[in-house]
Amino acid sequence: MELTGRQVYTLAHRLVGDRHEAEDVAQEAYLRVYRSLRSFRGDSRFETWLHRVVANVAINHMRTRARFGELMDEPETVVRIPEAPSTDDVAEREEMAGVLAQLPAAQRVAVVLKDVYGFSVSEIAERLDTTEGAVKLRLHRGRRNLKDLIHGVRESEHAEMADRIPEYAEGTGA
Amino acid sequence: MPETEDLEVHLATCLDCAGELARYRGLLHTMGSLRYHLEETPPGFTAGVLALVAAAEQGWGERIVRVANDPKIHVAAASFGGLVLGAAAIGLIWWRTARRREPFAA
Repeated sequence: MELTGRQVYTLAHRLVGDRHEAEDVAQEAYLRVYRSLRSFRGDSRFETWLHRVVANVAINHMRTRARFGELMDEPETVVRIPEAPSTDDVAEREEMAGVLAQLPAAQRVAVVLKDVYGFSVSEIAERLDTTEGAVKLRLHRGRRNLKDLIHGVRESEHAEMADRIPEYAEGTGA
Repeated sequence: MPETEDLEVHLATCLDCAGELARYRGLLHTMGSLRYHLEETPPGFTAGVLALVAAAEQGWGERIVRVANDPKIHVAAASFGGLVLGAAAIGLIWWRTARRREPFAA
Protein backbone atom coordinates (compact mmCIF):
# COMPACT_ATOMS: atom_id res chain seq x y z
CA MET A 1 0.00 0.00 0.00
CA GLU A 2 2.99 2.30 0.57
CA LEU A 3 3.88 2.41 -3.14
CA THR A 4 0.37 2.38 -4.61
CA GLY A 5 -0.67 5.01 -2.05
CA ARG A 6 2.01 7.34 -3.36
CA GLN A 7 1.11 6.56 -6.97
CA VAL A 8 -2.57 7.25 -6.34
CA TYR A 9 -1.90 10.44 -4.38
CA THR A 10 0.64 11.78 -6.90
CA LEU A 11 -1.70 11.36 -9.88
CA ALA A 12 -4.62 12.82 -7.91
CA HIS A 13 -2.52 15.85 -6.94
CA ARG A 14 -1.31 16.43 -10.49
CA LEU A 15 -4.85 16.27 -11.83
CA VAL A 16 -6.69 18.41 -9.30
CA GLY A 17 -3.73 20.68 -8.51
CA ASP A 18 -4.49 21.01 -4.80
CA ARG A 19 -3.06 18.92 -1.94
CA HIS A 20 -6.18 18.79 0.22
CA GLU A 21 -8.48 17.92 -2.65
CA ALA A 22 -5.93 15.38 -3.84
CA GLU A 23 -6.13 13.61 -0.49
CA ASP A 24 -9.93 13.30 -0.78
CA VAL A 25 -9.65 12.09 -4.36
CA ALA A 26 -6.92 9.59 -3.49
CA GLN A 27 -8.91 8.12 -0.60
CA GLU A 28 -12.05 7.84 -2.70
CA ALA A 29 -10.05 6.24 -5.51
CA TYR A 30 -8.56 3.75 -3.08
CA LEU A 31 -12.01 2.80 -1.86
CA ARG A 32 -13.14 2.30 -5.44
CA VAL A 33 -10.06 0.19 -6.17
CA TYR A 34 -10.82 -1.93 -3.11
CA ARG A 35 -14.44 -2.39 -4.19
CA SER A 36 -13.66 -3.34 -7.76
CA LEU A 37 -10.47 -5.29 -7.14
CA ARG A 38 -12.32 -8.56 -7.70
CA SER A 39 -13.49 -7.37 -11.09
CA PHE A 40 -9.93 -6.56 -12.19
CA ARG A 41 -9.34 -9.26 -14.77
CA GLY A 42 -5.74 -8.54 -15.58
CA ASP A 43 -6.48 -7.43 -19.16
CA SER A 44 -4.20 -4.47 -18.51
CA ARG A 45 -1.36 -3.86 -16.07
CA PHE A 46 -2.49 -3.19 -12.54
CA GLU A 47 -0.77 0.21 -12.62
CA THR A 48 -2.64 1.22 -15.78
CA TRP A 49 -5.93 0.14 -14.27
CA LEU A 50 -5.11 2.03 -11.07
CA HIS A 51 -4.36 5.20 -13.04
CA ARG A 52 -7.68 4.90 -14.89
CA VAL A 53 -9.60 4.59 -11.64
CA VAL A 54 -7.85 7.64 -10.15
CA ALA A 55 -8.40 9.67 -13.34
CA ASN A 56 -12.13 8.86 -13.28
CA VAL A 57 -12.48 9.78 -9.62
CA ALA A 58 -10.49 13.02 -10.06
CA ILE A 59 -12.54 14.10 -13.09
CA ASN A 60 -15.82 13.32 -11.29
CA HIS A 61 -14.56 15.19 -8.24
CA MET A 62 -13.76 18.28 -10.30
CA ARG A 63 -17.18 18.08 -11.92
CA THR A 64 -19.07 17.85 -8.67
CA ARG A 65 -17.04 20.57 -6.97
CA ALA A 66 -18.57 23.15 -9.29
CA ARG A 67 -15.48 23.03 -11.41
CA PHE A 68 -17.25 21.39 -14.32
CA GLY A 69 -17.13 24.62 -16.31
CA GLU A 70 -13.46 24.98 -15.53
CA LEU A 71 -12.86 21.43 -16.66
CA MET A 72 -14.77 21.86 -19.91
CA ASP A 73 -13.49 25.35 -20.58
CA GLU A 74 -10.98 25.85 -23.35
CA PRO A 75 -9.37 29.17 -22.56
CA GLU A 76 -7.02 30.49 -25.22
CA THR A 77 -4.52 31.68 -22.63
CA VAL A 78 -5.30 32.32 -18.99
CA VAL A 79 -1.87 31.61 -17.62
CA ARG A 80 0.05 34.58 -16.25
CA ILE A 81 3.57 34.38 -17.57
CA PRO A 82 6.23 35.66 -15.16
CA GLU A 83 7.99 38.80 -16.32
CA ALA A 84 11.49 37.47 -15.94
CA PRO A 85 12.20 34.57 -18.30
CA SER A 86 12.74 31.32 -16.47
CA THR A 87 16.16 29.81 -16.25
CA ASP A 88 17.11 26.27 -17.15
CA ASP A 89 16.93 24.92 -13.62
CA VAL A 90 13.17 25.65 -13.60
CA ALA A 91 12.82 22.61 -15.82
CA GLU A 92 13.66 20.37 -12.88
CA ARG A 93 10.97 17.82 -12.21
CA GLU A 94 9.62 19.26 -9.01
CA GLU A 95 9.34 22.70 -10.47
CA MET A 96 7.72 21.26 -13.55
CA ALA A 97 5.10 19.71 -11.27
CA GLY A 98 4.52 23.13 -9.70
CA VAL A 99 4.18 24.76 -13.10
CA LEU A 100 1.70 22.08 -14.19
CA ALA A 101 -0.54 23.09 -11.28
CA GLN A 102 -0.73 26.61 -12.71
CA LEU A 103 -2.37 25.45 -15.93
CA PRO A 104 -6.15 25.77 -16.27
CA ALA A 105 -7.86 22.53 -15.21
CA ALA A 106 -8.94 21.58 -18.73
CA GLN A 107 -5.39 21.86 -20.07
CA ARG A 108 -3.77 20.33 -17.00
CA VAL A 109 -5.92 17.18 -17.09
CA ALA A 110 -5.18 16.65 -20.80
CA VAL A 111 -1.42 17.26 -20.46
CA VAL A 112 -0.98 15.17 -17.30
CA LEU A 113 -2.94 12.20 -18.63
CA LYS A 114 -1.29 12.27 -22.08
CA ASP A 115 2.27 13.45 -21.53
CA VAL A 116 2.93 12.15 -18.03
CA TYR A 117 0.80 9.00 -17.82
CA GLY A 118 0.57 8.01 -21.48
CA PHE A 119 -3.21 7.90 -21.90
CA SER A 120 -4.36 8.00 -25.53
CA VAL A 121 -6.25 11.02 -26.84
CA SER A 122 -9.38 8.91 -27.38
CA GLU A 123 -9.21 7.59 -23.81
CA ILE A 124 -8.97 11.14 -22.43
CA ALA A 125 -11.84 12.28 -24.65
CA GLU A 126 -13.98 9.42 -23.38
CA ARG A 127 -13.24 10.24 -19.74
CA LEU A 128 -13.89 13.94 -20.21
CA ASP A 129 -16.96 13.20 -22.32
CA THR A 130 -15.69 15.36 -25.16
CA THR A 131 -14.25 14.97 -28.66
CA GLU A 132 -10.71 13.98 -29.62
CA GLY A 133 -10.37 17.32 -31.40
CA ALA A 134 -11.16 19.19 -28.20
CA VAL A 135 -8.57 17.14 -26.30
CA LYS A 136 -5.93 17.84 -28.97
CA LEU A 137 -6.67 21.55 -28.73
CA ARG A 138 -6.28 21.49 -24.93
CA LEU A 139 -3.05 19.54 -25.26
CA HIS A 140 -1.71 22.03 -27.78
CA ARG A 141 -2.57 25.03 -25.60
CA GLY A 142 -1.45 23.33 -22.41
CA ARG A 143 1.97 22.42 -23.83
CA ARG A 144 2.44 25.89 -25.25
CA ASN A 145 1.53 27.49 -21.90
CA LEU A 146 3.82 25.09 -20.08
CA LYS A 147 6.71 25.92 -22.40
CA ASP A 148 6.05 29.65 -21.99
CA LEU A 149 5.95 29.29 -18.20
CA ILE A 150 9.24 27.42 -18.14
CA HIS A 151 11.25 29.03 -20.90
CA GLY A 152 9.48 32.37 -21.14
CA VAL A 153 7.52 33.67 -24.12
CA ARG A 154 9.50 33.68 -27.33
CA GLU A 155 8.23 35.44 -30.38
CA SER A 156 9.11 33.32 -33.36
CA GLU A 157 9.58 34.83 -36.77
CA HIS A 158 8.08 31.67 -38.20
CA ALA A 159 4.86 31.47 -36.21
CA GLU A 160 3.19 28.96 -38.50
CA MET A 161 6.12 26.54 -38.34
CA ALA A 162 6.62 27.09 -34.60
CA ASP A 163 2.96 26.24 -34.05
CA ARG A 164 3.49 22.77 -35.54
CA ILE A 165 6.54 21.96 -33.46
CA PRO A 166 4.79 20.56 -30.32
CA GLU A 167 3.00 17.84 -32.29
CA TYR A 168 6.13 17.15 -34.33
CA ALA A 169 8.22 16.85 -31.14
CA GLU A 170 5.71 14.35 -29.75
CA GLY A 171 5.60 12.33 -32.95
CA THR A 172 9.35 12.07 -33.38
CA GLY A 173 10.17 11.40 -29.73
CA ALA A 174 12.81 12.88 -27.51
CA MET B 1 5.87 11.51 -43.36
CA PRO B 2 5.12 13.84 -46.29
CA GLU B 3 2.98 16.24 -44.16
CA THR B 4 6.01 17.06 -42.00
CA GLU B 5 8.51 17.23 -44.83
CA ASP B 6 8.32 21.03 -45.18
CA LEU B 7 8.72 21.41 -41.42
CA GLU B 8 11.76 19.13 -41.41
CA VAL B 9 13.36 21.12 -44.22
CA HIS B 10 12.69 24.33 -42.30
CA LEU B 11 14.07 22.89 -39.04
CA ALA B 12 17.26 21.91 -40.81
CA THR B 13 17.91 25.51 -41.81
CA CYS B 14 16.36 27.62 -39.00
CA LEU B 15 18.29 27.72 -35.74
CA ASP B 16 15.45 29.49 -33.96
CA CYS B 17 12.88 26.78 -34.74
CA ALA B 18 15.42 23.96 -34.17
CA GLY B 19 15.98 25.43 -30.69
CA GLU B 20 12.22 25.52 -30.14
CA LEU B 21 12.01 21.83 -31.08
CA ALA B 22 14.83 20.99 -28.68
CA ARG B 23 13.02 22.85 -25.88
CA TYR B 24 9.78 20.96 -26.57
CA ARG B 25 11.59 17.64 -26.58
CA GLY B 26 13.19 18.49 -23.26
CA LEU B 27 9.78 19.47 -21.92
CA LEU B 28 8.18 16.18 -23.02
CA HIS B 29 11.08 14.21 -21.59
CA THR B 30 10.80 15.93 -18.21
CA MET B 31 7.04 15.44 -18.16
CA GLY B 32 7.42 11.75 -18.96
CA SER B 33 9.85 11.35 -16.07
CA LEU B 34 7.34 12.93 -13.66
CA ARG B 35 5.43 9.66 -13.71
CA TYR B 36 8.22 7.96 -11.79
CA HIS B 37 8.76 10.83 -9.39
CA LEU B 38 6.26 10.07 -6.65
CA GLU B 39 5.14 12.50 -3.98
CA GLU B 40 4.94 11.59 -0.33
CA THR B 41 1.43 10.97 0.93
CA PRO B 42 0.22 13.38 3.63
CA PRO B 43 0.51 12.20 7.26
CA GLY B 44 -2.37 9.93 8.22
CA PHE B 45 -3.22 9.10 4.63
CA THR B 46 -2.82 5.33 4.99
CA ALA B 47 -4.73 5.29 8.28
CA GLY B 48 -7.51 7.31 6.65
CA VAL B 49 -7.78 4.90 3.73
CA LEU B 50 -7.83 1.87 6.01
CA ALA B 51 -10.54 3.48 8.16
CA LEU B 52 -12.62 4.16 5.04
CA VAL B 53 -12.22 0.59 3.84
CA ALA B 54 -13.09 -0.78 7.29
CA ALA B 55 -16.19 1.41 7.47
CA ALA B 56 -17.24 0.33 4.01
CA GLU B 57 -16.72 -3.34 4.90
CA GLN B 58 -19.38 -3.09 7.58
CA GLY B 59 -22.02 -1.51 5.38
CA TRP B 60 -24.73 -3.61 3.71
CA GLY B 61 -24.08 -1.92 0.39
CA GLU B 62 -20.46 -3.02 0.50
CA ARG B 63 -21.47 -6.60 1.33
CA ILE B 64 -23.87 -6.65 -1.61
CA VAL B 65 -21.21 -5.22 -3.93
CA ARG B 66 -18.71 -7.82 -2.70
CA VAL B 67 -21.15 -10.68 -3.26
CA ALA B 68 -22.13 -9.28 -6.67
CA ASN B 69 -18.47 -9.14 -7.70
CA ASP B 70 -17.63 -12.64 -6.50
CA PRO B 71 -16.91 -14.95 -9.50
CA LYS B 72 -18.17 -17.97 -7.50
CA ILE B 73 -21.53 -16.26 -7.10
CA HIS B 74 -21.57 -15.57 -10.85
CA VAL B 75 -21.06 -19.28 -11.61
CA ALA B 76 -23.68 -20.31 -9.05
CA ALA B 77 -26.19 -17.79 -10.42
CA ALA B 78 -25.57 -18.92 -13.99
CA SER B 79 -25.99 -22.58 -12.99
CA PHE B 80 -29.18 -21.84 -11.08
CA GLY B 81 -30.52 -19.80 -13.97
CA GLY B 82 -29.76 -22.65 -16.38
CA LEU B 83 -31.48 -25.10 -14.08
CA VAL B 84 -34.60 -22.94 -13.84
CA LEU B 85 -34.70 -22.42 -17.62
CA GLY B 86 -34.23 -26.15 -18.24
CA ALA B 87 -37.00 -27.05 -15.80
CA ALA B 88 -39.29 -24.47 -17.36
CA ALA B 89 -38.60 -25.86 -20.86
CA ILE B 90 -39.28 -29.44 -19.75
CA GLY B 91 -42.46 -28.31 -18.00
CA LEU B 92 -43.63 -26.47 -21.10
CA ILE B 93 -42.99 -29.48 -23.36
CA TRP B 94 -44.77 -31.77 -20.93
CA TRP B 95 -47.76 -29.44 -20.70
CA ARG B 96 -48.10 -29.07 -24.48
CA THR B 97 -47.79 -32.83 -24.99
CA ALA B 98 -50.45 -33.45 -22.36
CA ARG B 99 -52.79 -30.96 -24.06
CA ARG B 100 -52.33 -32.62 -27.45
CA ARG B 101 -53.17 -36.05 -26.01
CA GLU B 102 -56.46 -34.86 -24.52
CA PRO B 103 -57.87 -32.40 -27.07
CA PHE B 104 -61.55 -33.11 -26.32
CA ALA B 105 -61.22 -33.91 -22.63
CA ALA B 106 -63.46 -31.01 -21.67
